[in-house]
Amino acid sequence: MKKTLDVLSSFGLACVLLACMFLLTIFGTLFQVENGLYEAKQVYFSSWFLWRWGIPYFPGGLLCMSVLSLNMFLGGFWRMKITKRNVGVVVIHIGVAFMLLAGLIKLATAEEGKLRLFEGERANYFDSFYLWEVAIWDLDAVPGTEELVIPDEAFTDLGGNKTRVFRSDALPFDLELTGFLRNAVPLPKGPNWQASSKVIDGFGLMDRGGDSRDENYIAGLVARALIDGKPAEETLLSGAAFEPWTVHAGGKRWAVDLRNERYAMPFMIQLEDFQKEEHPGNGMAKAYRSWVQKTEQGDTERVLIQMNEPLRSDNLILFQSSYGAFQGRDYSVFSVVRNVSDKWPEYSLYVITIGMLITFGLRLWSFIGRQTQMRKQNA
Amino acid sequence: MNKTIFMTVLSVAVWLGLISGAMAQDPHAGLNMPSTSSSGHSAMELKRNFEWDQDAVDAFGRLPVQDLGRVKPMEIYGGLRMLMLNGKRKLELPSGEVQGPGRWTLDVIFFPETARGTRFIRIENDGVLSTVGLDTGDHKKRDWYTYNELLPARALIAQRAQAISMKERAEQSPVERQLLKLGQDLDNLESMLGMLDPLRVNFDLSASPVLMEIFESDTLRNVVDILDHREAIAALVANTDPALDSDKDLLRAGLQAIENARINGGWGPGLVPPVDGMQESEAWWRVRDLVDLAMLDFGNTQFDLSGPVAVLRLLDQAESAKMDQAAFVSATQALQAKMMTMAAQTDVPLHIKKEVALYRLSPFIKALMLFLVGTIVLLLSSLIKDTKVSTAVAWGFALLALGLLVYGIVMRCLIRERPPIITLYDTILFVTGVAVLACLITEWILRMRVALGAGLVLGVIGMFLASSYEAVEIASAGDTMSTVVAVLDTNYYLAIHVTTIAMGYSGGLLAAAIAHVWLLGKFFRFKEGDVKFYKGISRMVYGTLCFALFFALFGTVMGGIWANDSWGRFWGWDPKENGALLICLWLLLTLHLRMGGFIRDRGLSAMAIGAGAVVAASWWGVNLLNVGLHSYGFTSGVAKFLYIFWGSQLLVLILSLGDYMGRKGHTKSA
Repeated sequence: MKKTLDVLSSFGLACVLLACMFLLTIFGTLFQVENGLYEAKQVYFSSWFLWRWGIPYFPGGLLCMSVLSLNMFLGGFWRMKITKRNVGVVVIHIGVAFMLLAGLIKLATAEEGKLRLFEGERANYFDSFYLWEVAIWDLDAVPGTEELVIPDEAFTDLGGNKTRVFRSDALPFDLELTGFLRNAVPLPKGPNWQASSKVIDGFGLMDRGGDSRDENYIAGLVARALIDGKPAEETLLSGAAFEPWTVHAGGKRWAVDLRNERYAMPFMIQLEDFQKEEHPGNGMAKAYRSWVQKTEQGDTERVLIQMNEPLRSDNLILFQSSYGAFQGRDYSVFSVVRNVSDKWPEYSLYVITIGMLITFGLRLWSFIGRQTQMRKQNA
Repeated sequence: MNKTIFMTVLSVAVWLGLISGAMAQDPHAGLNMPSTSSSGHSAMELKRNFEWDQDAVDAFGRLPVQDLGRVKPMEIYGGLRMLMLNGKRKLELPSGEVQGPGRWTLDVIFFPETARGTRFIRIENDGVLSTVGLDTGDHKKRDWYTYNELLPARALIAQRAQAISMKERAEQSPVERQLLKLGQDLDNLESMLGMLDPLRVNFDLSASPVLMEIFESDTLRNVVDILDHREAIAALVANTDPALDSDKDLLRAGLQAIENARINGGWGPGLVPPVDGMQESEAWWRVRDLVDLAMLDFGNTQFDLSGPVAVLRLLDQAESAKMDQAAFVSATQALQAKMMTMAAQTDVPLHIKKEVALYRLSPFIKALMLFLVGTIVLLLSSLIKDTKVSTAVAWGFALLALGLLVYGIVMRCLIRERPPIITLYDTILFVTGVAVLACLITEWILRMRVALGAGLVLGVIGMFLASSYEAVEIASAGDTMSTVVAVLDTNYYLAIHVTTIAMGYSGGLLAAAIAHVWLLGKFFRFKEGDVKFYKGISRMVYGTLCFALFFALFGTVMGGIWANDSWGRFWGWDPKENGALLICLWLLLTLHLRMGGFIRDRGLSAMAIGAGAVVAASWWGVNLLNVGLHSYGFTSGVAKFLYIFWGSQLLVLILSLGDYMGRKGHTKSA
């Protein structure tokens, strides 16, 4: 046991982990140029291992950071005897461990996405940047009726000919999904390009592959409605579609939509006014801000959200992240994050800074003292 | 003006159809970019036959003008374009006259005919001109051309540049990039050359004795003449005598000529802040807008346009008096006073005198010279004989150079009313300043002359880089004190995060510089056997690495906190963030290797050299990827230098490894 603790708290392990993190950071950064940030995170930074041909060949970011946290904890409290000389180092370790813990909690619990609102529009949900869902609802039901949702992890592995059927007692039909593509556009099939999906009603999906802007990816797949186990209708579902696909079954009309995964907010946000200023002469955005109305439990307040000044409420944070115009109407884009450890990195910074000031301050002080002493002796 | 005359003038203006466009609320509405062909210059243009008086240079150079989003002195506006076109801020004319930005700007604006015939357009590779079918004659491969020499291919250059601009930068060939730059440079030059064209209409009135009598001249110079004789013009228009029809036609043709000159020229910088309520944009009015406003003022408006019209009149006075230096100085001084008064009524930062003083002093070039002389003094004294005097002299040069560098950085902060680092150019100045300061403090403590030498060398390298990169930044952004994007518009985070990260860069580079002394000293057997010397250097390397870690770690975490407030996440694995993380990881690895006893002095120095390479990757390398949210930091054109730097550092490490293996082998055989 002691031997294990010695290894886990050793400088050698710390060095190996730091070197691994260094390499992961380099290769993960280069990887995202071609493959986008989401893929880079999945492969390098949020993974336990890096895989090739089904074999783990290098520790992933999650493994390195987890073991590093353990190493720091044990190094600080098991191996090191706290003295006046190393008290600062212990404080630094506590701060860094706290920061890594904040990251771990965010990784495990946080929800991140975006909310795009035109002036006058309102919403009490936000959309994921990268994750997708297939939502099904009764088109003729009153607004607010519950939807059936197939989450991202249930169908995004259905590449190529892989097929899965989804059933629900609430639906008079089954839904078969196949041919998922993370970044594809539906186009009329012509002679000059090969569709990456089945061609339906003259349209096929063109796979756009990966690039660095993966938050702009548009997913696509083939969907079939099965009534009594037999194919009744089929279509290409695309994240770019303006209208959901309509399935007629059981005497009702059902909407089926592929969209970014949607998260509920505990309040309603309405965009009242979006304002943008440009620097004269170079078209560079000088400032942009959104006046919104936040309504929660009947209470409405007017709030300004602008760069570097987000709205924080109920562990949700809304940031002014972008803007645009469509058909003459301005819209504002907010990044939305639900993160209980939102402020923890800031607190850890204070701890780390105090630790570094103690450590390096004490060393500098004693070094200058020695130098002065030496100079006096030489004189 | 009584009501009758007022109404008559209004009806004249409407009849002439001149104010129909100007009645729009926004005088910028419908404006186009300058035409790429040379704006029609009149045959009346004069060539300069005297040297500019310093008072004229001062008065005109200190006009507050708005360019690329900020207000700056006219001399700086011209100087930036001179650097873009000429590659330097100095120009020697065939007459032997040496021009700086102030005199060059005066020439281009007031004597475009002279400027068109002066060689100041630098062509890096004459292959660019061959692609547009221009015969380069006896020019060298890299040479300076006149505007007139390029004129025959001007239309084709514009056409090609337009097509190239549609391509992604990565898809542009080097020749295409140069052609694109040439096209943009010529656009900028033409906007200066034609700035006063609307004041140089000089329409011939000799066919009409009536108009000659009204204008007391046989020439209608510009819109100011119209304003000056508005009542007589109104009377002429109101007169229904058919005998005056031809005079009215000629007047209409003259007014059309004024309008044509306005349409084709009058670009250049903004001169007058907009009058309250006339436009939403904060864009200042240019000469062409002032002519438009004069027309509006000629008719009727609810707005008080006396200020813009007064500026136009003063500009006209300066243009009329340009052959008479005393009158010109007087006109430009009055213009400067008027424009400063109007600019002061806005809330934009206005530091005209400070900025002119900063650029005229050229503190960074002078600092480069002083660092260089200090380095030579120290080197010579090391080779010949170390004396207290030579050390004191080197100290003096280092302190003077550092003083100039700090002065320049502080002035840039005051001018922008911002913390020291906004652009990549700022980072070079700041990183150099901090590194030199840290060296001098270390030298003061240790007195080994190693840190002093490292500081001087870093000063030379830093200032050389700054002067080289200045042109790159101006070519891409048009300025080195450019405006900031919305996300950077926070002095709190700019002051804390960016400066601390840059201090981390300084520490890493400084550690690498000192480590070179250890590794190369050992390799060349310098002070062989002097254990104390090498121990001292190792202590310096260690201390500097700790310094670097403190600031890099603080800055990186602080950046995360800023990102959390701006973009909603503390850490997003963005390339720029990863670059900062790489520095922290490398420094932590180095210190842990040392604490764990895995490396000693040589290993520490080798890792410090690595730290310098990692800092370069973080500072410049990740910008080349053109990926991520830190788009304001993207760079191009530095890859070659980066590879050379990394290669040189690798070479030092290989040499040191060879030295280590050699010593090890020697010890074993012994």
